[in-house]
Amino acid sequence: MKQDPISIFIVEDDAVYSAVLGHFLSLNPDFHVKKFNTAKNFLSAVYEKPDIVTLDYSMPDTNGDLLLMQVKELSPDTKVIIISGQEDIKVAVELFKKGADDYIVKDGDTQERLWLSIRNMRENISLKKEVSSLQQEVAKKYNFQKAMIGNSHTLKQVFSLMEKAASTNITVTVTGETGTGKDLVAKAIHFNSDRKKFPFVPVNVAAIPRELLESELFGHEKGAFTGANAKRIGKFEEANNGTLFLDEIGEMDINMQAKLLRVLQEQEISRVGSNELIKINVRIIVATHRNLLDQVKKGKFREDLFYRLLGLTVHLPPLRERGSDIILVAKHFIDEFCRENNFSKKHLSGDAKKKLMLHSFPGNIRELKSVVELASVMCDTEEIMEEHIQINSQANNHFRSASDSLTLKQFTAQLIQHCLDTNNYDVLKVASQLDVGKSTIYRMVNNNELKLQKNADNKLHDK
Amino acid sequence: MTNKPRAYSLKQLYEMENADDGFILTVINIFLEYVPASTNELVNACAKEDWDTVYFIAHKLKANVNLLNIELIKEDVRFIENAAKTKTNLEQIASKAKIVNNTIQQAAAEMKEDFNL
Repeated sequence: MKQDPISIFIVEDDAVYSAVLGHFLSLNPDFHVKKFNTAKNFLSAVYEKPDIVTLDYSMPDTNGDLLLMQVKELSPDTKVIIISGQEDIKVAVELFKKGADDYIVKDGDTQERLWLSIRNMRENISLKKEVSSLQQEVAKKYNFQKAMIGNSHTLKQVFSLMEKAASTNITVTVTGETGTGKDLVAKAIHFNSDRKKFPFVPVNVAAIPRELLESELFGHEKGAFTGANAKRIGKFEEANNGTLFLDEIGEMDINMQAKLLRVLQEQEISRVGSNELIKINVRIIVATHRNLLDQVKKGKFREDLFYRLLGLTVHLPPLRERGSDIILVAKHFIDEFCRENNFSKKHLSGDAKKKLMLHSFPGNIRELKSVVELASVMCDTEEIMEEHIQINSQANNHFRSASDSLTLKQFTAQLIQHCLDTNNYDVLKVASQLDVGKSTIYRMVNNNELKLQKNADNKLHDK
Repeated sequence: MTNKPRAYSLKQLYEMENADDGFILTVINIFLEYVPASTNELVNACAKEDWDTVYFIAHKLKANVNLLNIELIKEDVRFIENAAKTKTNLEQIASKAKIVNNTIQQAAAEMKEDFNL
């Protein structure tokens, strides 16, 4: 494993010994060594958070215990090696209790033992740095605003719910059409919660054959059934202290639902083929594209499990209800695709944007991603034109447009009318989606540019 | 360097990895700058019966005496450190401190001679 350079502070008032240690440690070009001959000088530099400190236990201006505690308080991740002139087991034990990482006596073997100690610590430091950097990367990736792109009012409400979900342990149900990013929401909640250092384990219920789901979730003992050649840990155990994401929960077999309910109530599982109960501590996030209450009414989903899982519901709006977010998300995917494929940066032409805005995107984000990635490939210049946007017209029968021949004013009216038609003539909702004032819409209605129909008297939802 | 018997030895220092003459000279210079002065201070502290200071100096001196292999006084320095810490055999400390000081001053003189300092 390649190791990063490390910083080592030598705190030693004995000038001879300090010179010897400094020389010795500087033999490794990856060790960046600084020397301090008083505790005061050292403490004024400890903000630099050195990786390792070799601390002489007997400094003239303080005592070793106090200095050790100060280091651990100011820079908790710094490893401290106490170097003492006395071999005193009692003192050494006390120092270890106070957080010292090693205790070395000044004698003929000091250098060798120091070298060994630093070598071991260095491996540990490198691993810690790697883990920390990966954690930062994951946290950055699943930052709410980065996990889901958009400025629409509906998405802001989603962010607010996600924050609430992340700060508590409540069970979360994520609903939304296919392709709206339910898995991303689940991951973002997990990686922003206190459980982030533990596993996030996704299970797509719909993708696992009914007869295998129990063993997949709870694990099995060797010989529990034909083909169970070895003991296997299930997803619940794998997710212990972390989060289990049950995607497409609405597809779960009714008998399996009963078993899941028992696990959720008792917080314990038993592997298939075993009677041993294993305590678990798992946060559950479920997702479905179905209306679970409807499923309950149809007898396809257990009512008790429905209420057990209900918790906080995060509903992801379909892309067509997110107004100008379509363009923001499209830009994000184009930038990402160009970066990953070493393309020069591309942007959408006005007509290309118009075409995207007019599509209903039944496949939501997933569909938009495919459309703009294909457009990026088809486009040989830096500007993605309307003809590069290839949309399946069958999927876009909500709205037809002869937009090529329209003026901007006509196009705007047509776009707003389309949104009104598909949003039950809810003026406030449409105004929010398209980021226009509701008075603009009413003015256009008064000018007969828009219609609030079909039954204008009771479809007007100005709340 | 001379072949005369010396109070000190550079064996331990030379056994260190990459211990070239430049490094040895640096250590000798630092030793000369600090250690003889500290043993003078040790004698003065004994005269004042300031046993805490005596302990502190002896404790620090121990590592240098070991490093430069000043065999003659290794035991004496340990004795002084322990006696001053435990406040026992105090009456023996002063005479041993004088021996320690004399030996360090002698080693310092030899170093100056050996390194033309």
